Amino acid sequence: MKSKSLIFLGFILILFIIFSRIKFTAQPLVNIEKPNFSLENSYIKHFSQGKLKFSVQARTIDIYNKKLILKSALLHYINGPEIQAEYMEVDLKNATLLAKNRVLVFYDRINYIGEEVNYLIKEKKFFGYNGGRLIMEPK
Amino acid sequence: MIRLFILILMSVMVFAAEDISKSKLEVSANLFEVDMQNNQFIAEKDVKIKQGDLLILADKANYTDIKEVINLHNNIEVFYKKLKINCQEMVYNRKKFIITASGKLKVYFEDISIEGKELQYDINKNIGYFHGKTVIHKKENLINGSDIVFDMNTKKIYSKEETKFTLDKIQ
Repeated sequence: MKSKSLIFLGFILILFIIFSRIKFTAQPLVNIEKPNFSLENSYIKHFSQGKLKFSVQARTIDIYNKKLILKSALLHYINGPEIQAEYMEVDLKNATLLAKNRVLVFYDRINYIGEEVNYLIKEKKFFGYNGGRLIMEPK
Repeated sequence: MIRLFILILMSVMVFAAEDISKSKLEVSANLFEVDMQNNQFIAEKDVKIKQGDLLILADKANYTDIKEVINLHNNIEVFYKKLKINCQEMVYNRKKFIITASGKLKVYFEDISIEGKELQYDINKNIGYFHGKTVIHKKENLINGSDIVFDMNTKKIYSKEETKFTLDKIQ
């Protein structure tokens, strides 16, 4: 009888230790990052990162530490393509660009119209998802 | 007055027919991989290529700017005016406007259907060059031959002198 009550007490003690280690906090699980700068209304802004140079014309430009979020934007890379979309995320660290909603890419007499584009800036390569059209002018 | 009307109608019809060399080439697909540096692309899933009256459907397409050719793969269907081509492999030369089709090749033109190994179709000349063993069906007739040339303007089928045609009736 004594041994049973000892086991029960031990079990309660283990449960107590487990629950005492769990901390309940009111903090959200994901930290919502706030932009360092937020530029609104139609803007023409020139950015350069090493050899990469581009200009942006957008309704809003949110500047974070290593990324830009653009809405209703036209982005022009110097010696590169011109990209237009409703929403864009420029990852300055990994040199990538994600464009969504009514995406247009213009380069070397070729136009691409699609819904989602992932552009690798350094490689000058892009991936189009969820359907798109590539229009080539006659030579 | 009627002559003038006919003349205007004819000129309108001439303008209405799209010149393929002056038409834009439009590629639509579900997935794209575009290399802008080398002017190459890969298109996958429900690939549709349109240029003037030419329509090509395929599972996959890849393009290289140096050769100016589009390579198409699997379940290919080509529609051009009265011509229809079904095949598994195809090369479309967008500079010379030549289609080279092979693999389970079947060609349909009005009441003629042709099965062969390889077809080289010149869009501007509207002539098809069939290489290798070719079988032509026309109504109840069947023609066997090799290296056949099919002129779609005059609907004439001819071949080299050494090629023999055999005419059989389909049972």
